[in-house]
Amino acid sequence: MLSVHDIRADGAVARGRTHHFDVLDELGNCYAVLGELERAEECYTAAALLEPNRAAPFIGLGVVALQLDRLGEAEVAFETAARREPDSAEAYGGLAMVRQQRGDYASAFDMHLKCLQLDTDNLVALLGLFQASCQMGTFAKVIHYLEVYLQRHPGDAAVLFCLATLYAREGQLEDARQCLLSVLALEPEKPEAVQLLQEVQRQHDRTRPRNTVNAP
Amino acid sequence: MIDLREVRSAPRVTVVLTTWDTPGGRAALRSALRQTYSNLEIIVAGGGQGDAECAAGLADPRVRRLRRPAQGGEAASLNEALRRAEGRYVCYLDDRSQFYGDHVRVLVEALETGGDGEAAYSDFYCTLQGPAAERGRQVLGKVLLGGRDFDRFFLFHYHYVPRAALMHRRDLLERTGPYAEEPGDLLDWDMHRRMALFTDFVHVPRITGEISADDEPGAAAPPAVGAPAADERLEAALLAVRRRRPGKPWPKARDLAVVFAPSRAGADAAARIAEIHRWTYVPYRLYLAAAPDEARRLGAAGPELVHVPVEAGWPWDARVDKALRLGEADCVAVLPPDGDVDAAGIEACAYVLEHHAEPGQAVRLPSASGAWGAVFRTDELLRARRNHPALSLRRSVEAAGLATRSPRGDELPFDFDQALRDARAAEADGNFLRAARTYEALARKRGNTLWMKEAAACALYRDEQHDPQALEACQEVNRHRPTVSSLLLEARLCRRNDQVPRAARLLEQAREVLTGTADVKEPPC
Repeated sequence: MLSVHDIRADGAVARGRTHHFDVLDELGNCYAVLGELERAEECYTAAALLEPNRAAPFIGLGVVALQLDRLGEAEVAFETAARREPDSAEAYGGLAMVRQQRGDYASAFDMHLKCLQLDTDNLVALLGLFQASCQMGTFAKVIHYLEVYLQRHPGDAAVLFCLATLYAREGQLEDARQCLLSVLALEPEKPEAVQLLQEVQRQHDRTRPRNTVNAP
Repeated sequence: MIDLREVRSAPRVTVVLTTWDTPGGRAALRSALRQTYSNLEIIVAGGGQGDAECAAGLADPRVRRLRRPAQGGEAASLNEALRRAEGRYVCYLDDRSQFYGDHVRVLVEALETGGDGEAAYSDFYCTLQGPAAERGRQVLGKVLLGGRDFDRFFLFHYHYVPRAALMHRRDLLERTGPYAEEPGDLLDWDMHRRMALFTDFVHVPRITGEISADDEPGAAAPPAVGAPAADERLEAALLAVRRRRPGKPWPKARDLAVVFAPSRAGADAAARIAEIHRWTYVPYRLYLAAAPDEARRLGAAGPELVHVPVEAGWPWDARVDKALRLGEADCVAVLPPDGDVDAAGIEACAYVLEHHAEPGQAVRLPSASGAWGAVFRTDELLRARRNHPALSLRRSVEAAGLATRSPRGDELPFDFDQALRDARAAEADGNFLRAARTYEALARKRGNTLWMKEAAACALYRDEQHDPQALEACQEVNRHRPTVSSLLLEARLCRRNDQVPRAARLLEQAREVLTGTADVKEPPC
């Protein structure tokens, strides 16, 4: 004999326990996309009150605060999210953005790295890592992550271009040239790729042994 | 505002509210008072002073108050209120339920226009609550309760219509009898089973109220010392419910006679009787054709058991014939004297006989050992015995041209639920498309349309390859009966397809339902 509450044995009751939270969190995401940041903030706050142990609404609050340039609030929100769910890549991604906007590139680099370790497909973190590296002038670690990412996403022209830039800066001109050729195969009209390829080609020609250049 | 024209022309409805002076009870009363239907009387069967204060404070001439009887529990309160009720129709509230504004109107319309149905039910939300961040309780979610079309056989097995969702003609109780004033938690199921003997229930697929789930941690008190364990209590209550048989005629259900004439009054026969009692949920009587000392040895008793005294040494056919003469049921299951029979299959075969068998057909009882037994229409079996008294029972059946056949899988009861289980298993295995196709087929062939369409939309959403079809199915559900889960699903589909403003509108609609502002208006007190 089942009670009325057990009849819908399709997990509806279990799913129903998070209805209110799901609605508020998704509504917050919608308003954030639509640029209605105050309403998004109100939804995320209500969701956080319903489920204080979940990271998602704090990440939403952090993103809203970041967009409103309230870096202190954003940092607190992302830190809270990271405490609630230590495996939350988004929380570390958010912290990285805060640190980057503050000019703390070393810390931003660490946070981007942590985010990438939790989510190797996170393109935002990858590009953030690239930007932080450019600011700090250290590229070796980034090249490794970009290469790992491209093994999984070989057709990502933006990442290929970043990698080409790093190769060029590190003097790995042939690698840079190959990357740029791949970028142009994907996006033939990409002007910055054409420009960089010309530059790489020039450097390549300058460093090539003369007897090779003059070979019949 | 009371509409006097409606009061004069529309049938009166009695709302019976049983309450223990709780905030929930007062909210229930307010929900009754703000009905859009005017011709109401509200009988509050309350226990404490607070109820009286609330009722007096409301000063509404439609409200009458009764003190709950000291004995007999909730059933006694219901019966006392029903004795004083004057409405043509009756519906119910308690401390945990609330009506939306048009609940009474929707169900009255269904009963007044729904053919010969004397009972109707709508869909309700089950409100799931949890502790709030600061103090008190907060709504975590609202899931659909019921939502299933009327299925008498299913109702005989499962309590799936909440009392608050039901409205019935008051005079139906003259045939069912009152609520059973015995200990047990099954008084609603018991009453609904009895009602189903006399009427179909009209299902209105519309959400017209909500019931709070009792999900507070530790809310269930342990049984008192010396009291039977919960399982034993439940078993006893189940048996009591299944034994209750209001007077005939039962225009909507067939009575089943199970005839058992064991060749030996041993442990096997006693076990078979116990199995029949355990597995038979449709109304039935067991006719035990045995000599008095054999019956004593078997030790079987109970109101559903009829002892058919025979002489020791009578042949099996003669014993069965005597039982058949005593029986007054519409169909009869003749069990073999020895050998096994699947006890759960008896009522399933009776179901097949009623719903699928042609006249002149009987349904063979399933038996692993091949023992012969079958379910017959009583008049056809009696005719066979009258026309061929000299033959054995089995030969007389054959001589009379009665064909015994085995039931097919798709004829058995619960085949809808079996298909549902299969679809859910496919979903669990990640085969979302197959699950969706099963749900769609069920919606076409087996009713429960909105429920199945939402299930199909959900499976297609999870498949991630058929968003347009998922969206179409979901939109159709939401045009007819939007629920929190179906609105959430459509919003997720919209969001995935870059329709963010529409997703936001749908989520706002779901939020209104969850926060109670979609229907509930300001209370009058």
